Amino acid sequence: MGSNDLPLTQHLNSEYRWGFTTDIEQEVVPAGLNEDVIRLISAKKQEPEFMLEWRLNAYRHWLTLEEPKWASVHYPPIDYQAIHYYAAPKQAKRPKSLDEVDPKLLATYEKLGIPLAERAALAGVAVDAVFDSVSVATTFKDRLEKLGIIFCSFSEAVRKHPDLVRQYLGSVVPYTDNYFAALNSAVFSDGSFVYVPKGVRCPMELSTYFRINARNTGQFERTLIIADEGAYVSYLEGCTAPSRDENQLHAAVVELIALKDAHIKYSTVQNWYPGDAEGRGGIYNFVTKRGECRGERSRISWTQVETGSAITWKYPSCILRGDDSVGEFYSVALTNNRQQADTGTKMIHIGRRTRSTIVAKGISAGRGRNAYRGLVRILDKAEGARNHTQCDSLLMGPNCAAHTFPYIEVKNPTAQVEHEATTSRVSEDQLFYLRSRGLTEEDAVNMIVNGFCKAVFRELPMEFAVEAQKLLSVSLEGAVG
Amino acid sequence: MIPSTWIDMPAPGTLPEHRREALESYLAQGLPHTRLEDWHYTALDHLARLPLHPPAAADVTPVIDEAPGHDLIFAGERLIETRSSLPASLLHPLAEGELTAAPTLAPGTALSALNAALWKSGGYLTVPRGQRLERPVFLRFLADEPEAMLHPRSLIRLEAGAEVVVVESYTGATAANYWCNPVTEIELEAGARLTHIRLIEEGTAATHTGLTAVRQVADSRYELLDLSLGGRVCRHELYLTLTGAGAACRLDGLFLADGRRHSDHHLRIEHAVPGSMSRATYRGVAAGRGRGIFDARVLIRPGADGTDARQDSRNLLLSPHAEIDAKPQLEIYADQVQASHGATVGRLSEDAMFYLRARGIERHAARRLLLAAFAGEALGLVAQAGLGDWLMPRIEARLNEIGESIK
Repeated sequence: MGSNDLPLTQHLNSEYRWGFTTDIEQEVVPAGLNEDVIRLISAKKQEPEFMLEWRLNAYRHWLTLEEPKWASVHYPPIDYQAIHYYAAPKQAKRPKSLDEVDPKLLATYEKLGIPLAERAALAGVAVDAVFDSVSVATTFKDRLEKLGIIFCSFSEAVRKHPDLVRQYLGSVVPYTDNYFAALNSAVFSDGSFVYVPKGVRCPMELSTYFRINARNTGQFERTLIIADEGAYVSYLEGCTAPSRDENQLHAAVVELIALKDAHIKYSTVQNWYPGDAEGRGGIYNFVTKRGECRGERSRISWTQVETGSAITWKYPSCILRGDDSVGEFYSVALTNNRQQADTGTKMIHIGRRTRSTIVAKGISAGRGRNAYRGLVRILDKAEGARNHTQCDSLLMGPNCAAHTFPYIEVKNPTAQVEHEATTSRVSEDQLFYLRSRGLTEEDAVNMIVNGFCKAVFRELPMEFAVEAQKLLSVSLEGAVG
Repeated sequence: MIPSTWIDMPAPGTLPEHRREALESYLAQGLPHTRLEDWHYTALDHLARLPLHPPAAADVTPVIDEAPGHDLIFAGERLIETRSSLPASLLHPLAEGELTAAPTLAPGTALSALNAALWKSGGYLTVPRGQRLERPVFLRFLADEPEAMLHPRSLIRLEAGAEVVVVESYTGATAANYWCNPVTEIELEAGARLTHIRLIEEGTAATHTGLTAVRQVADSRYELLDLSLGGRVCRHELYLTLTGAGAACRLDGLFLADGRRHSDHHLRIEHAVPGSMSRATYRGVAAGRGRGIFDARVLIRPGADGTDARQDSRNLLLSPHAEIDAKPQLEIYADQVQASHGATVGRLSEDAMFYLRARGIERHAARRLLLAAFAGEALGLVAQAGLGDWLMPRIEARLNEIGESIK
């Protein structure tokens, strides 16, 4: 162990399979950030006055903030004036059907294996594909509309459903929340909007593929999902980005709101470009994700598989306000080569008998650095609150690092909070056992890693579970040696 | 933000070089505040509102109970009594030259630097090679003067194969609002073995911000019982470095945070080389409006293979106004290691209460039994050190107070 000579090691150097770029004429606002750029973004998106006002307030607040430094991640300073804050594929008008969509765009998605159009129908998935900043195609809208479900791009929601947007935008992640949320609030270009009305169970998984394409365009997505009383929705988010040498900032904000008896399931497979083996390039994934269980018996589940990005820095969180509400967080975070991750969750128990479960699996290989950071806070009114946290780290190789930084704050004596963490490695014994039964070393490692992650994978919708397993084995190629 | 100069400091020019450097380091950092990650749960703002001053000369010598061992007794930062049959070369008040000659083990935190700049007295204990002291050594620090600021400093060195039990206690009998900021440095050579009972029993309005720095080399063993029973705002920081194969530490702790007590336990354990072991077992009780904090971090350096590190923090929350905060952290840079931590927060088990009551045990007695059993999980070192008679009544009295206070 520890040497790079074993057969599995070469496997690691497999190139990023999704590293192509699409040559499309882009409409790009010059680099830099000031109030004029924000006014321009807002004007291009034909936003109502309240949105511009909100953006400007966020920008002015952002100017007063300092970039946070507390995370266990290291990166050179970001020049916020060198980023292009708006890039849209140049098109004369919005496409009315898929035939009008630029074929090059469609080809891009095809390479990514996204089920769009007919393929989407076969797969039973509605896709709101985001190409850089503007949503280019949305399917299954009619079928969802019949149920009263709104699933559209954020800009469309701002135009067509301004009241809903106004009511809920920033109500879970206000622009004052943190540095990157403030930046996102000022300049966000697009994203997805979902509203599921009272008592409606969304009949299909909603899915968005984000894609960073233009050079030097930070992507600032904004997603807002509202499940009204008794509603259910499962939302899938998948990310791949083309290969680039320069680091690119991705500072998204996701807000989930579950009203009484509603259930939101949010699954992410994140496979942004991780940079090369020497740590050059790659995405900075600095995301604020938070859901609020606003009503009684509401439930929010976050499931994430994080295999990409040079740096992943995010804590999908649940505010458990409603009595008997439930928050769940299932996570697999993998760092290989020089990737860094500081991820985890926050569970804020406010309501009575609120429950939360955290299962976090961190895998470190190569020179990867992986940190779990999580907060469980039980406030004084949260009678009978429960939390169970399990976080495990798997180390592969002598140069990787795995950290666990849990914060447990309990103010109610009837609460019960348990936290467990272990650290282990793929041992020579386990490998030997499996290999002596005829498995190749690769298969043996994959089997061990899949077993390690099983508790998380089984929370993923089927399509994602398969992709997640594949991603993991590709990302880990050669990591044991 | 509190100005670093809210108390009258000596003019830097009047101090020896090393004290001047320490003072400058403190002034550069200032008094810790809750915006610092390491001080997130403990505020010292109240200190900035006190006109703190060095302790005045005491008129009367307090009467002090007999301790079962060699005993150095300090009051208001002055040695007032030595009750020891050890040669003075082994146990005596720390001299300036002894501290400057020894390697600095304490980290350069603001409060440790302030101590280095201002300390006046403390204990010095050295145990020669291969020698085992039969009786425990007591270093006892008393304080009772309002608004006094005390910075005791002690140094404990065990040569190869030496063995001793040390009791370090900080006591205040009154409700004086003094601030005690002690630093103790401990060096264990190969095969040395130290059992260290550290007892915070400060007065009901006192602030205690103690720091212990330990360096261990091969096959040495350090056993700590970290007891926090009294004082208003208390914090103990332990910085322990394992720098030799076979070095092992056992860190047991018990804090009782009732009334308005605030008890913060801050452990930083560093495994620097292969083949060392650490165990941290803490039990915390928060009642009334008390708040208990367990903040531990185990760092396993690159190459420190074969490290075996475990943390176990269990806490009882007995009142709706009390709070427990736990941060059991791991920072691991080597893959051939075993590391784990567990933390729980909850109340006394209803099932256990029911079981005892069904057997005719009255509610209060049942609660006392369960509290004693819970605390007992961290008190194994008391009997091992032969200090049951001296220590247990103090702990039991406090547990009973807490038991009585629960409705």
